[in-house]
Amino acid sequence: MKKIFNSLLNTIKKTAAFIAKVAKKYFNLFTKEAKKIGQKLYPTWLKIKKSDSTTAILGALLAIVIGLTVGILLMIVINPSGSLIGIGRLLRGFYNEPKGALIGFGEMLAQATPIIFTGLAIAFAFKTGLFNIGASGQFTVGLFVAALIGILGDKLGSFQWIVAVLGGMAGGFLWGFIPGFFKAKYNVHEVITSIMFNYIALYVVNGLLKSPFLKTQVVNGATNRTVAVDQAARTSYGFFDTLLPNSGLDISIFIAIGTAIILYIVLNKTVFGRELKGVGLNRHASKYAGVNENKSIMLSMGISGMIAGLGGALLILAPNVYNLGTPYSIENTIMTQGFDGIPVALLASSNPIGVVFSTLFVSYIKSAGEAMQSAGFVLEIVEIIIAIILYFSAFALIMTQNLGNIKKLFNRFKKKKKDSDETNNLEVKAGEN
Amino acid sequence: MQNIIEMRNITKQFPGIKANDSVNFELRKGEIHALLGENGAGKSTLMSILFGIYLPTSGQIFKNGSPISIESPNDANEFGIGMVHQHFKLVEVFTILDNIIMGVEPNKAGFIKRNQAKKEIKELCKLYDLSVDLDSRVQDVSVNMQQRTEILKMLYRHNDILIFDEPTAVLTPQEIEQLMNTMMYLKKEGKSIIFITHKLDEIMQVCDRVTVLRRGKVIGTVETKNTTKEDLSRMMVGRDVIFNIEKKPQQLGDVVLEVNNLTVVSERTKKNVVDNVSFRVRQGEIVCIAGVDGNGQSELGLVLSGLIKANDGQIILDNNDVTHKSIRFRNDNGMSHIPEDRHKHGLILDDSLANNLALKKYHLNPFQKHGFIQKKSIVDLARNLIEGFDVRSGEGYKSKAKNLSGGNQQKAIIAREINKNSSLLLSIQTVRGLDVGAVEFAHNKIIAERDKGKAVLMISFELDEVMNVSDRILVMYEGRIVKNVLTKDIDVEELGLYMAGVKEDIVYPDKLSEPKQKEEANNEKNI
Repeated sequence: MKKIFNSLLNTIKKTAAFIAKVAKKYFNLFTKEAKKIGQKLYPTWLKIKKSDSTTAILGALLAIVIGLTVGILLMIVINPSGSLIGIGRLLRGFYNEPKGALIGFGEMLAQATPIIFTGLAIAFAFKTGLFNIGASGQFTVGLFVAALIGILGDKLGSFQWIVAVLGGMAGGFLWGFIPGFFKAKYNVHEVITSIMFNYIALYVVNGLLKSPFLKTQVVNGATNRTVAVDQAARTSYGFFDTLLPNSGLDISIFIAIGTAIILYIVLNKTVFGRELKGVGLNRHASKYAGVNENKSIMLSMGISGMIAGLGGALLILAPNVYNLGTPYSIENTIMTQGFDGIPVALLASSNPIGVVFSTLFVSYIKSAGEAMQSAGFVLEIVEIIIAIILYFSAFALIMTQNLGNIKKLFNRFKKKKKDSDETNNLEVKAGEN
Repeated sequence: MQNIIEMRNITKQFPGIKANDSVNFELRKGEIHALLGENGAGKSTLMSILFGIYLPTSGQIFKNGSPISIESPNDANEFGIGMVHQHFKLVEVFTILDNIIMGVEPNKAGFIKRNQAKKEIKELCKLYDLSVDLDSRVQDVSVNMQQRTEILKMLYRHNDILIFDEPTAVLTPQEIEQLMNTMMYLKKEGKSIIFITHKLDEIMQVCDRVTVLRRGKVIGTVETKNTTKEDLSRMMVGRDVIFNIEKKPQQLGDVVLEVNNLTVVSERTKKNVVDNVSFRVRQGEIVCIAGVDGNGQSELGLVLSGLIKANDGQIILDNNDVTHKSIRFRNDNGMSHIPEDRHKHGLILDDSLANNLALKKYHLNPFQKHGFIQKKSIVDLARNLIEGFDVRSGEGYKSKAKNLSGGNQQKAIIAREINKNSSLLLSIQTVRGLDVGAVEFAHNKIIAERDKGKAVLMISFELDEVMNVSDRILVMYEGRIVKNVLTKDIDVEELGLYMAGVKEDIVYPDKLSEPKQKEEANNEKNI
């Protein structure tokens, strides 16, 4: 028995030693290459003014490069024969669109718009120290309120659109405000309440849509979807129907960009934003400084919800590709836009302007999804690559912040080697004497 | 005697600041060597280099004459160097035994041999007279025992060079005595000790030699027996430090703060932690609330500043009844407050120094216009305060507050609060963690406020501070004020009796009308 155990142990040891040897070899090779690249890039790095935002941007870019590289390696492993076509299609993004790149571009922007809103909602909450994971619920409620006004409020005439948008914002505000209230008054963690509020929003909205009155007025029984909103309530195409026709893109992309700019100004330039951020950084010190920290938490969550709600409202009010409106289908699954907002907010280090760009990037990659399917990959390969990029964005931020130290470490290694060589020489000489 | 550790020409450059500037430090075998210096003088940095937390920019470390390179705490450990940090590095939910053996568990095929470890540790305990309860969880034992756990951690790893980073800051006088004894035991067994402290008395008591650092440079190394407290403080600060402060005769003015029958009920124990307290503070006087920690002073400070609510009674500030007013109202209407907990309340650690210096002002003109922050005004304010109060930091007003040393953080808070120019300065544990030079500086600033006609209410647990700075003392015991006396009319011994609850002059009986008369009488006497 003992013999068998020992031999087993020995084999394990031998294999482990072998793996370690191989790993070491490749690790050395890798560090050597990394060192070469690092030494080339270091002088440029020194020249760059290192503020927080440049670090964040460089971190995100580095993450994207590393993430794409790993993703491509993964694609080669999964499907060696189709990998070359797959990689090409991945990098081409919306250019894959068979109806033409312009339509592809418009579609990509249209799909990115709601995610910009939820990303902004989550980023805003992050900046004020809160993790609003309930953007989906707020999005759904905003969408629902806007749908009701858009379908039933035909008496509003030309005001129907703006009332529907404001109604959606109010609905989202309320849905964010409630978890904020529990956080402020009873210290219930906002992650738990806001997750629960996703489900509450989903089932309450679906329940209400099945109620006798709404069922006949708002829902199309045959498709189990809401009917399209009135013409007057639909978002304007702006100049996109001539510029990017048939792509479904409307002016809500501008509203999204405008929201990002407003949020950036509020957070960085105003007393109000300073106070919200202060509460996020240190709730107690903000209270001590005279900020009503409970009010701040409730408002932060409310505003975050309001942005998500705005996204929901603009989604349902969108005229869509065939100018038929975008219906909501009554299903028992949470709307994914709320969760798609989390990675884009993280990739942008919660900077509102950054959220616009990170969302566009993610949407670009995602728009390649269908084309890659025909190259023999599953649709989810895109999700995997985005997840990898997200993981690396956390590493990359740390790496860019410590690049100086890494360089120093290399220098020390070199120096140490020299030192030890010199001492060896000295010893030899001493021996000779 | 032989040098066990030599640090030669150690320089450590941080962004914007040279924390150590070609420092030479020698530790002999079997000595207790004190490392003394002002806040931010570079003591902690030097020890962090020795312990492998930082890599030096240049310089070399020698052990027993041969050069060594320490790149991580694990390396330090291999060279026999151990450290007790100011904030302990223990796993709260592990038992003391598991904490001690963590990382060096005696094991057989991966299974921990706890009994063997226990036996070894018990022998160590016996040898050095350290008593710990090995099976208790760290979170359940006293700070004192946690510190002994840290010491045992070093001993269990057979470290013979022991670094103590301000170990006495968290201990009571009796516990300090005990620690000093332990250090003497360790020395007798041949261990070499580096002892970082601000407290000159402790150095004179146990140390063999002292190395003094100032602004990152070594000022000198002296034998304790050939030096005095005054000499050491001069070396440390670079000038004579006056331990007894001269004050101008006081000019009393109007009542600024009036507290009537203030009561705070503890949520946990349902007891009155502040019990029917009444007093007044006038312009031009420093009133100090003295007492042993935990007699309701902290709660009194919190309720006056508005951080907790009063259950009963009245607070009148500049003829405004602020009892139920918000903190911002108090801040904007005559209250400055140096808080007890500087990390929790005093600063937003992750924010810049400039924003922290403007923490109570950014909502006022000229720091905002129409709701927009005026960055330039804030930066100007910060520059002025940093210069006027000598707040040292790596990157000036842009530094994150968390990157300042503790003393400089406190200076920043003092600067902010004095700059507010309020009629009342409420200052709680003003000088905790400050070196003698900074203490003197802070006290002078506070006395200058009094001379300008401000009312100052201090809460302090340190008798030296109480006796040196205040004009009038209120002694607090179990939530009540048991003595109201002019500082010149009382000595430390008598004060101690009141603080311990042995003696009591009930200043204010229950009826509201009487304390006013008595207070008036008192104040007349004061004038």
